Parts: sequence; structure tokens; C-alpha cells
Amino acid sequence: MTSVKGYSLALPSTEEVASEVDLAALVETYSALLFRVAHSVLRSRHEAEDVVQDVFVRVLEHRLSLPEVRDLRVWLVRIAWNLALDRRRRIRPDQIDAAFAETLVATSTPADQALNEAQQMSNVLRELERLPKAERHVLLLSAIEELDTREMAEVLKKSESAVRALLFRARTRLRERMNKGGAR
Amino acid sequence: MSQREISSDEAIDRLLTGLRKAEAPQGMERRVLEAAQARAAERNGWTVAVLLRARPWAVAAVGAVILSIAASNALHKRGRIEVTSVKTPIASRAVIQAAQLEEAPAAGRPRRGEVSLPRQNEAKAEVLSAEDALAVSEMNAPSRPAPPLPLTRQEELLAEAVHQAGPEELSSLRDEVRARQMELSKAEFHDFFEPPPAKGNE
Repeated sequence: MTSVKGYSLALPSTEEVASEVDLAALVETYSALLFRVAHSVLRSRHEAEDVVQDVFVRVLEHRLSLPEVRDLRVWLVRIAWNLALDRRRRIRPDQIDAAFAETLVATSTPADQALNEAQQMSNVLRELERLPKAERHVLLLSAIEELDTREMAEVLKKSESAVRALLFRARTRLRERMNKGGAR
Repeated sequence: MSQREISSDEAIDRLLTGLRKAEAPQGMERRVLEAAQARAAERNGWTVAVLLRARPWAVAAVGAVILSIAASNALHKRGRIEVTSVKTPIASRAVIQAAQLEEAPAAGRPRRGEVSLPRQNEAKAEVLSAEDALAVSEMNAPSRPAPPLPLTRQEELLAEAVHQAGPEELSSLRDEVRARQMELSKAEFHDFFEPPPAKGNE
């Protein structure tokens, strides 16, 4: 966070140099978190990396107004989240989710068992996408352990109690649907 | 061998764990930094220099279009007829040529149309309409007295009302004619009233 605070030290006379240094610090501090945020939505490493690039392009574009940002971490996560959701609409998620489901199977698993588990994980992802949007978003953000409930609430612009309720309902609904046959 | 079914909770947890443990690709930070700076420079610095490096043909095309528009506007303001299209109607071309013929001696220099005519088929020749050409020719025409026009019927009636006398009366306004007429009338008077000559004198 010290590097984040250092970002506001941008000197008007050496704005260009300062922005380069600060951008490097920001990338080092937040790129991993932003990658996971984007990856939770896109489930593609390549697409998630593109989203991270877009986030920092926007940081450079709005570098003059950065000192006014109250919580830079949440602000960056929200940008990455929205960009990932926007990009998700433009890609073919089915193929990407199938490839990601295969990565969730342990490599030591026998081939036939791995195939079965990959199919089950694909079903989980499909049922996840069928959840109501608010519940799906809360469940995906909850997977990122760096984010607490308050930060999730700020990213999603909801109250903390609403986030907790949505998270409970999301897990319950997903479990019920899979028990009905979604995981088969 | 029976395959082990994973429970719903286990599947959900495995999915969330997989999302949580997603690792960024190797070298992502460096690539992100370079790409972000390059893209920000592209967006913010859309200058001619950047464009020249990336798309020189686009800059040349835009420059050519701007120059042609500026030249066209300047010529319009001067009222010159620079270029005529091959497809101009015959009537319009005649008007344009007449305007050019009138313009040349007044300007005292070679007509500019002669210079640009060879280029008329090259690119975007500007075609002036017949109305424009006529207006230009009238504007550049030298001043001359109005041509004599026949009197209208009303003017003829007015002239008759003013000049009631005949040619003789009108001619009395001239001194020599009036003097000659006076002499003639005196001679007639004298001849009429002169007493006949006495018989004794013969």
C-alpha cells in the first residue's frame, strides 16, 4: 500500500516520469489480484491478462484524478470486474469453461476418472452461469480470498448484509441444482 | 472399476479453489506495463508524428483532402472558374467559356483555367453549374452603356402628348430655319399687298 500512497506523489513538473514509476509499482502490487478478479469471470488466462492491461491503461488515462480516489484497491478491482464482465459478453464462454474445467482435475487422476470429473466441473460451471446475476457475482468474488465482504460490497455497490445473504443463497441454490442432476 | 462421484459441495469448493489459486502467467507484469504504456501513448498522443509512423498513407490522404478543400474554397471566393468537367452540358460549357473569354483581357494575364484544364480528368474536378458561371461572367463583365431600346406603347403616347406640333413647328425652334421662314412670309405678304404698277409708267 505504500507504493499506492506513493502514487499520489506525482510531481507536476515530472509528471511523465512519475507516472511511469507509479505505474510500475501499481502493476507490481495489484496485477495478481486483478488477474484473479478477471479470471474468475473469464476463466481464461489470456483474456484475463488483457483485462489487466486495460485496467492499467485506464489508470494512466485517469492518473490526474487518482489522488481523489478514496480506495484505490477497490477502484481497480471494480474496473477489472466491469471490464471482465464486458469482455465475457464478447467471447464464447462454453469452450473456455470446458478448458478451464479440465484444469481443475488433478493430474494424477486416471484418465477415465479425470474425464468424468472434468465433466462434473463443466456442469458446475454451467449451473454457476445459470444462477441469478447478483448471486453469481457474489459467489465469484468470494472466490478471491483477498477481498473481504466490505470490499465485495463496494465493488458490487451493495450493502455488506446483502452480499452475505446473496452468497448464502448462491451456494444453496447451486448445491440444490447440482443435486437435482446438474452435476451428473 | 466404478468412478468416484464428487459431491456438490466438493465440486463447488474445487471450483472456487481453482479460481482462487489462478496464477498470473509468467512475465505478465512486464507485458502489462509495456502494453499499458504503449496503448496509453496511442490514445493520448494521437499526434501526426505517431500517425506518420503507423499509417503514413492515411496522413497523406487526409492532407490531400484538406488541401483540395482549402483550394476549392479559395477559388470560390475569387469567383474563378478553375476546372470544368468533361461531363458538363454543352450549354453550361458555352457559358463558362464565354465567361473565361471576358475575363482574360480584363485580368491582363493568362487565364488560370488554361493551366488547370489538363488536370480536369485527374481527381475530383469541380463542376460549376450554369447559374454560377452566368453569375461569374456578369460580375466580371466590363461596364457598358445600356443598349437602345424601343419605346413602349406608354412611352410613345407620352411623347405624342408632349410634342403636339408638327415638324414645321418643331423646326421653328432653330434660328436659321425660323429666319428663312420669316423672309418667305414677308415676301408673300409683300407680293400680295404690293400695289399694282401704274399704267403710265409702261
